[in-house]
Amino acid sequence: MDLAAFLQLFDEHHLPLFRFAYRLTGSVSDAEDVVQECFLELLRPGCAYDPERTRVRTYLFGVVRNQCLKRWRKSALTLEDAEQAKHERSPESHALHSEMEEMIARAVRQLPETQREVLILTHYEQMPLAEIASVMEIEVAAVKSRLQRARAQLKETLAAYAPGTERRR
Amino acid sequence: MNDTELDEMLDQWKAPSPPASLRERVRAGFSASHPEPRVNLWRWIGAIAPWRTALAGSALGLAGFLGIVSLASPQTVTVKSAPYVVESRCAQSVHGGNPFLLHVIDMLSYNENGREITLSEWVPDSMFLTAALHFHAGIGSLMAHLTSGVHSEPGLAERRKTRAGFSTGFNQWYVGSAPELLRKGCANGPVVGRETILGYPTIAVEHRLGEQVKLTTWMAPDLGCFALRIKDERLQEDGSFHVEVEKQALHVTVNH
Repeated sequence: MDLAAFLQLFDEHHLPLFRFAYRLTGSVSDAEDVVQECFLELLRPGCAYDPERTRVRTYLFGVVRNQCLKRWRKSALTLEDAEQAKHERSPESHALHSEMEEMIARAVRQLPETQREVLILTHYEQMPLAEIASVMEIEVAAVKSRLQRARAQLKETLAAYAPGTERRR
Repeated sequence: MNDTELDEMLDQWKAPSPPASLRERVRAGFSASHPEPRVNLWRWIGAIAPWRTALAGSALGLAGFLGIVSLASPQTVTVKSAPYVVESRCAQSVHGGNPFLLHVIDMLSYNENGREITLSEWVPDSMFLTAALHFHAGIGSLMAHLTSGVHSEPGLAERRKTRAGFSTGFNQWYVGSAPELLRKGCANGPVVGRETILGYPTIAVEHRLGEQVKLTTWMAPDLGCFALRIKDERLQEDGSFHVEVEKQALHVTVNH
């Protein structure tokens, strides 16, 4: 692959990959690292990508997912750590996030890992269930089931903040 | 809460835009995985069609002539026209007791607009290897010149001129854009230390070029971000990094 083709691939796919990585890691710098590694993975001699079997988008999302999981496990980062890190952002950055946005992000990140991934890919990336199944290497039925559970959990968590509902805080 | 209300709430969580540096980092990673090594003369000769052999022979003869001329010609004019020159030694590690024929290169160079310009290279105590090095470099220059118009990507040649470049003698590395390097006071990546080398304060910046290569450059802001020390490390099978090439400045001469 020459540089022009490589950069074209980057331009076509990096935005959704970055959003996905950001929503999984909660950190711009981590998401940046993950997306960089994801594209460089394509250049490695032992790269497992097979264009005849998988769409490049599906492969790249799979790499981002695995990189995020690896980082999460390697650093033994707990949800509490992530929340703490999030609150340590600069005042400027913090001001840009509404209270509601923070609360929704927290609710999504509190979902179990597998449900969180499915919800982000479905809702934020509008990815078809069959493609999510390929990214996560599970059955479509399992994707549906995880999505239903994720949405049910979020409805419960966010119910107090729904329009027309008085906040119980 | 119904599905629509949930979707509307979820829509409020926006993701930020990726930093502008991401594209440059990925591009640098590509360059690292496709380094621009010195031209492999014999592979090139083997690859060309037979009917071009005569042309290749002429080119080789010319390059050989240039190599000999460059070896014989003093380079003081160029050296004195540079604002400063740094003499450096580049040492390539010798793996498993199997010494490379060429594992130390000395060089004179300086930075111009964030790019390292090599004025002269030689192999200490070896006229023969120095001549071979110049011959090789002459061929590389000739090939680069001959192929400069071949690249299909629009603007590639122009962008190459504005890349931040470092030489470790054995390899040429490009890490992002030269104007950005200068604008950021040499800190065009994670700063991993600060050190004074030969009386010049330096900023140590670590560039991860893919997973395999770690390039640390100790750049002096007072010398236009010239790297007074470079460490080129490669990932080993056990997960550790091994120093492949290390470049160290020996003298800095400022021309007034």
